Amino acid sequence: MDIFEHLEYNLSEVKKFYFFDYFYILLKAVAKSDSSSRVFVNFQNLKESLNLGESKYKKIGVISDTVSDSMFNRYWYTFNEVVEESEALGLITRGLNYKLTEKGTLLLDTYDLNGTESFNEQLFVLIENKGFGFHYLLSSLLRINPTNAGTIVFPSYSPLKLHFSKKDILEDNKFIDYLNALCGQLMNDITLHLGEQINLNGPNNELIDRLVETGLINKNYNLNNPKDYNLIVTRVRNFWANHFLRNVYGFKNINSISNFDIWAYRAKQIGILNISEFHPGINGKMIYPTSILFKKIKSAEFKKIFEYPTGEVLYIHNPSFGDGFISSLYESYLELKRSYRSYFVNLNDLRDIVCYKLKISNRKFVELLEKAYELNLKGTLSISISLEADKLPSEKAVYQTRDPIYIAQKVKNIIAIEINTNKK
Amino acid sequence: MSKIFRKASEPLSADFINRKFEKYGLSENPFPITPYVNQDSPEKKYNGSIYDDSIREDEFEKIKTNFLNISQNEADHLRLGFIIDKSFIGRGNGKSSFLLHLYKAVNSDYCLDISNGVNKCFAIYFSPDGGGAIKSFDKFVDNFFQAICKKQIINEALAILRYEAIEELNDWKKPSEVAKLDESEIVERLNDTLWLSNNTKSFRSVIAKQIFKKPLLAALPAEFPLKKELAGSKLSNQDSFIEYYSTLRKDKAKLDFVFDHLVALFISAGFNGSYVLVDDFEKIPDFQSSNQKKDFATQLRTVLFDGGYLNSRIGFYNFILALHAGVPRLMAEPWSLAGMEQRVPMSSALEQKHIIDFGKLENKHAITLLKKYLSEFRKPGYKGKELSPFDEASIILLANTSEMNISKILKNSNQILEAADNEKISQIDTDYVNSFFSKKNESKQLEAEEKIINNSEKVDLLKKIDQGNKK
Repeated sequence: MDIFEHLEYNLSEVKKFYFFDYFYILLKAVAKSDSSSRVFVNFQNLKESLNLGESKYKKIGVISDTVSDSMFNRYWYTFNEVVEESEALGLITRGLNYKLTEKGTLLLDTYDLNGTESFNEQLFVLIENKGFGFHYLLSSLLRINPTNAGTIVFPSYSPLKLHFSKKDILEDNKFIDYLNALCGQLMNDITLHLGEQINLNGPNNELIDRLVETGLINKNYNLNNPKDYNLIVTRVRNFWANHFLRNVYGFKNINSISNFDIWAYRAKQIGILNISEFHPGINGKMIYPTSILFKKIKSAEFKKIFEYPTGEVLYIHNPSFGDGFISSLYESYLELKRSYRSYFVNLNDLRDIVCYKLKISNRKFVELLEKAYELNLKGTLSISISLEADKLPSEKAVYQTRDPIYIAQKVKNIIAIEINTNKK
Repeated sequence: MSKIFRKASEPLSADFINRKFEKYGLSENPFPITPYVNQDSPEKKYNGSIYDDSIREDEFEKIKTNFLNISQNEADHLRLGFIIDKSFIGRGNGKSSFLLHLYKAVNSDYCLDISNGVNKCFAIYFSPDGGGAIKSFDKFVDNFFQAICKKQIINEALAILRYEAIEELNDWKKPSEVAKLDESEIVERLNDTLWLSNNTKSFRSVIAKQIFKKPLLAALPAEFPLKKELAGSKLSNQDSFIEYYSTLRKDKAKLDFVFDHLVALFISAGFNGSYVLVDDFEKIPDFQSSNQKKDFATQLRTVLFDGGYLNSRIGFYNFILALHAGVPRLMAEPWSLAGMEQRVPMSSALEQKHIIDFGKLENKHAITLLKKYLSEFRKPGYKGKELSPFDEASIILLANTSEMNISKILKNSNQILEAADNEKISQIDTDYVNSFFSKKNESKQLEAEEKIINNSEKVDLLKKIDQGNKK
């Protein structure tokens, strides 16, 4: 008997924003304001001060001083999404004025007293009680790929990745060749990650028909307007992501990749799963569980965060610091060092590999690395670690696309490790 | 027999004492074990004094052309420059020894020789305190002032002023005696109360009055240490300046003192500028919050360019900051918020006069570097080859294996020479270098590596629970 079938999944009440911090700033804004109009202003100011943007990653800093109309509309939209979800969760009421409910007040106190982590966990409990969305997400992952601990990949290949330059596509009419190469590559990836053979020629033709119908490409499969290049590449990417979601992986209760992302990136904040968009050796987005559904666990390496009516319990993997971490860290460092051929390697890449191997969240990684670094400074560790804020010349990115790693309150991007021969 | 006259049965033979490195014609291992520059070390291996101009010739020429040779009277002479390490590891590329060399080159003749008499400038060198000690500009100024004092330049300026005033007053008791003094004696004597009263005809306050005829000095506030001499209080010297500085509590007072009053003193003593070399600048932004970075950049801008200070008006101090490759990125935002990006961008795709790129070494430089160290420690009368026991090919291999990083090259040279000496190898050729590095990598390193890696595993949460439940 499938014990999961007793849960009634309802994933539609989730609203379009990624960060749990948004709940906090709304509650804070409501608590501070005496009138409705002030709530939005306070909300906006808090949003700026926490570097919250509309994307999956926080902003690096202030990007622009003035708020354009379209920005204002976006802010207003996000604000309303947060308000609606908070109201649905019973955190605020909307009459003439916004008001915090008792639940909302308690939650806000939790943030101020116990910090973000407890705040997020309590919110998680509220959201999960509404429809077991995270349970659906996690159990689906394990159903899809039980042999590889629930890891799924949404492959993504830009034309350049498959060796088609923009010129090839715009001037030499190779767009159709790109689509076919992409289709072949995706089939290979499915075999690689899931061990299954799935024919994607049908959906590929469907994609081509759709692009012709919308007038983006002509009957000879060439772009009608070179200006549409970026738009078309995005369309292609989204088409396949949606196809993987619905047909390859069979997520019946989530209707689009953007809604899936909301659930997945929220789950990442709690530590239920981890997402790596730049995993070395993987093109695309890789998602894997860092938590587990189980009856009863004795091990102290797991932290209980939710109990379902079915009797199942959701545990987050919460390993303590030990040799296992050091070993994985060093082994992964050597792997990267081999391909970089330099002493320092990218710390983000290293984190992605270690998290995947150990099935831990990015936050847990930072916690363990911080501990290792501290012991390293005392000289009691079997390895010696050197962390720097430099960037490798090849990666001077302007926008933040990966979680920054703070060790002792400072951002670090590269790391070198040596065997500590003078261990105390 | 008393123990003080007894001899050991096996006294150390002269042969034994000279044995090590003797066969290479070297008095000791010329290469440092830990190649970090320490300005105050008495050992030439460590204090940056072994230096060959040709290795960083391009960088030095650029500073000469764009800074040292430009008259301080030019309204838009460069007031701020950067030495930026292009290698992303950014340690041990010779920045510190380059800066110390520059420091000595400027101070040896106060830049008069280098600039053909156009500029008389002294140089100040310092590396900010590390570990996050310097977050505010105020603390940075403290470091700067300490460095000024370390150079003893205040004493020198005071001596110059007094000497000139006494000459003008024709006040020496025995001018011929004074003429015999050398530079350091002049500085010392003219700050010595007793010597001055023995050798001059008038009272100190008369001399002080003569000094304060200079317009820039006349405008200084009454509490300025030198000005107190007008009232006949004791002779001021650098110590009284330090004491005075320590009483300054407010940031503004410190800035006035360093960037206005001291500038007036130096100009009156005949200097027309100063080069301030700040090493390891990254120690500052590494520890600052974004607000602190912005404030720092804004204050730097104020004292250098557009504040009310004498220095901002004329650009007396010219700062040259040595940065590693990561700093421009750390500072990009605060730099532009403080409006510095338009004046003196830290990074630029175009060639900029004020940015001195500090590139990686080339093969020929590595050879020069080792040659220089070897020659410093050759036994007198050595007549062998300059590079012995190395040769060109082995040095190039050694340097490339050390990623062309000067610090690593020196450290490896130290170790390889030690190893060759132990193994009684007379010639360090490429084969030996290869075997040295493969041995170094293999041995213990590998064993320890294996041991650590063997513990690594890919975690499967389900299995982990199983194991946990069984225990």
